[in-house]
Amino acid sequence: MLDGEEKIVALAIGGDPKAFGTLYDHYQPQIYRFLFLKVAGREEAEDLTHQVFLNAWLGIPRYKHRGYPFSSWLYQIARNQVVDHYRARRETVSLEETDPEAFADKFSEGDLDKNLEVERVMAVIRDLKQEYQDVLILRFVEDLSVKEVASTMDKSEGAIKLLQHRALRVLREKLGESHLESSEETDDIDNNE
Amino acid sequence: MNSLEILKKLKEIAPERYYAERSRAQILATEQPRRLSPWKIFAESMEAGSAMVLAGALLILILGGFSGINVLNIASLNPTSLKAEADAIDMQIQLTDLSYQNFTRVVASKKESVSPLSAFSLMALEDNATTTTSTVVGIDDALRALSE
Repeated sequence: MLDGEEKIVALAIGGDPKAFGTLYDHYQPQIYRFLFLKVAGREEAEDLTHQVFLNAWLGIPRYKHRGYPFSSWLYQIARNQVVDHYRARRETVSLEETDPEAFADKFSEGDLDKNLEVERVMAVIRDLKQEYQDVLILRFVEDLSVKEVASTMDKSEGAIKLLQHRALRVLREKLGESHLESSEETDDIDNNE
Repeated sequence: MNSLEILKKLKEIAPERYYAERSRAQILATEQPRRLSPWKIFAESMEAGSAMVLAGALLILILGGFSGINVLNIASLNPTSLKAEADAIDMQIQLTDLSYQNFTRVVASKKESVSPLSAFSLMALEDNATTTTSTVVGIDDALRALSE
């Protein structure tokens, strides 16, 4: 969460572009990442991220602070944007449709095997249900708390824990990892919350 | 590397700097929709109203030839002179009616008393009087005509 976020958000609600610019600078990378992991390529992720922040800028006068981080609201807009995106395209992204060059440069320092592994995980994530994708990205990529994810996905904390457990299990099944390892790690994560 | 470690690794994904700057500038250049509170609606309607009043006042000044506020004080529309003129017209009508009624009454009485020869001249006089209804004939003129 951004330092002095409430004050900055209040200024942005009043139409202060500088305040909204601060929010943009802080949250744009994580919203981009969230969208990039859910759609096929860099250009689509860029277009959707732009649309999310444009909608946020146009809709911020109606924003009501409910005690959650501002990012929860941005993620909600992003999730709706993805739903609209796929509804408009009316197609699902297969493993072949993913753009390997889109993320290859991000991991160029690592060895080839590691890059391939990362690409494989990303492809599997995109093949999961929308809810599983959301909970995996928000919990394990963005390190949001269960409470924050619950507010973003408009679910109870218990429901998020259950979703997280199922999402990890399905991910590991698809990657061919052992179930034993999966359940032990999930239990550790839940206990740390 | 297990799946959780790979998921952590995905945090390195970041947008291109040029894209981020361009997108940011475009978004902030977009004008936000105006919020219309009841007070703003009232203020805007007052603005429009006052503009209309000012435009109307300007139009009156232009049509009045910049004669100031005395737009209605035109000489030909002086109420006193108009009243005097109206009174004079009424008087003339009344006098004309009076003259005509007296004249016809006198003619009728003379008709009964005069001879058949003079009756012709009376009829001629009567015809002349009726054809020239627009001319004003006084009592004295009528008596003079009868005496002739």
